Amino acid sequence: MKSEKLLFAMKGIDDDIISKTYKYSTKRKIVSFRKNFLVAACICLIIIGTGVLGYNQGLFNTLSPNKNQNGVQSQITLDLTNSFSLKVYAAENKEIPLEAGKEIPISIGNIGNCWGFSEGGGEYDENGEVIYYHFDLPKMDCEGNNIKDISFSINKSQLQVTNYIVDSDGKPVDGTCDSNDTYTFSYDEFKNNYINISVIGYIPKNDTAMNAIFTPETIDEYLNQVKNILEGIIITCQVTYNDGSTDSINIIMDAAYMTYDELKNNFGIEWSINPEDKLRSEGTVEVFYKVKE
Amino acid sequence: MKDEEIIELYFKRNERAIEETDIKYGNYCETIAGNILWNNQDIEECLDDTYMKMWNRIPPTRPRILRAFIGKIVREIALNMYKASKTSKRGGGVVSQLLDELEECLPDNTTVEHVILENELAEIIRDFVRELNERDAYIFTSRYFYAQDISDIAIKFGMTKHNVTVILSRLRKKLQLRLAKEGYLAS
Repeated sequence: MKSEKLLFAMKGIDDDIISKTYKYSTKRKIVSFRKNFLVAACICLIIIGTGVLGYNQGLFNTLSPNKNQNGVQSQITLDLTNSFSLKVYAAENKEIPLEAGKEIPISIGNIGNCWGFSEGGGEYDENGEVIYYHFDLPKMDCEGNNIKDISFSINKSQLQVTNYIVDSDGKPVDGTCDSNDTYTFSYDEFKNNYINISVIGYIPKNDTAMNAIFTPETIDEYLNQVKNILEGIIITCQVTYNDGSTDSINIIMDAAYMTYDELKNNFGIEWSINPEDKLRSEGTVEVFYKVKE
Repeated sequence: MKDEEIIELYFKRNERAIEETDIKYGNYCETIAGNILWNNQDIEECLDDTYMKMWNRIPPTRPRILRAFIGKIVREIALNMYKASKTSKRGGGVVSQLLDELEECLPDNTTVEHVILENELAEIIRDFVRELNERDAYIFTSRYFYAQDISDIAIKFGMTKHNVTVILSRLRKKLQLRLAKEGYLAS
C-alpha cells in the first residue's frame, strides 16, 4: 500500500522536531495569557461604558486615561458603574498601539491563531461541493464592572467556539467544541476558561473560487476572493450587566496585502517564506479585524 | 536519570538500562503504541520488542536524542504489528484514517513503491517538515508520526478540531506538490 509506505517514511522527521512536538504544551501559552496579564502585550479594541470607563491603570500605555472636569487623571476606585472593555492579545512581548478602529491582524497572538481554506469532502461535506473557510479570532478577554454574561453572535457564517476547561496550571483538562450563530458565556466562564472563537463557513466550489484560493495567478485574485468572503461579516460582542442593561461592540473583518517587512515592523509577525511561492515572495495576504465605528 | 546516563548503561551492557528506559520513557512509548494499536496485549508486546531493539541497537548507535530514537523504534514496531494484524479493529481506526489521509498525497497512477526507496522517501519527508513553520511542523508530526487523534491535537495546540483539519488538509496538499516535484508522482 502506497500510503502505508508514506506513513512509515515519517520516521525521517528530525529528532528535534519529534522531541519538541511531544513536549509541546499549551500550558505555557495559557499561563502567559492568564498569569502574566499585566505584562502581556494586548490590545484594547474599544471601551464602551455608559458611565465611567473601566480604566486599568498602567495596563495600556496608549490608552487615554479618564480625566475629571479639571483635567486631572482619575485613579482606580471601586467603580460600581456598568462598564466593559474587550481586550485582544497580541504576540507576547509585542505591544501594538491601541485605538478604537485600529486594524488588528488575525495571525498575531498565540500559535493557534490561523486562517485558511480547505476543499470539501470527508467528515464535513461528503460530496465535496464546497470550499470551507476558517478564521480564528485572536484570544480575547473582557474586563469590567457588574458584568453578568458575555455573548458573541455573527450575522453570516457561523461561530465555532472551543471552550476548554483548564486546571490551576492552565492546562486544558476538558473541552467542548460547537458551531452556532450565538454563544453566551458567564463572566466567570469567559475569564477562567480558555475560549477559542473562530468564524467558519463555506462557499460553493467552482472553478473560479478554486483557482482564486488554491492556484491564483496573481495575489490580487487571491486577495479579492478572501475579501469577498469576509465582506459583510459582523461579529457582535454584547455584555449583559447584572441590572439587565447591555452594551455591545461590532467587529468587522477585512483582508489586505502586506509586505513581510510591514508585517514584521508593524505587528511583529515573522512569516515563514516559501521560496517557491512566487506570488508571495515579498508579502502576503493577511486578514484583519477591527471595530465597526 | 539523564539520557546520557541511560545510554552509558546500555554501552556497559548493564540490564538496568532497560529498567531506567522504562521508568523514563515507558509512558511515552505506551502512548505511541496505544495510538496505533489500541490493544493492551499488543501494546505490551510492542513495548517488550522496543526495549529488545534498543538493547540490540545501543551500542553501536549512540542516540543524539533518546526520546526521538525510542519513539521511532516503538512507532515502527507498532506499525508493523498493525500491518501484520491487517484489521482496522485492532488498529482502533486511527491508522486507517492516517492511511486514507495520506492516500491523497499519492494518486493511484503512481508506481512509487518501485521507484523510490524507503530511505529516500524518509529524506523527502524530513526536508518537507524542516521547511514548515514551527506550528505546522508540530501539528504534522503529531498526526503522522505520533498518530494522534484530531481532537487531541486540537486540545494540545489550543485550536478547534476544524482548524486542525484545515491545517492538515493544507499540509497534505503541500506534501503532494512536494512529492510530485521530487518525481514521486506520475501527475
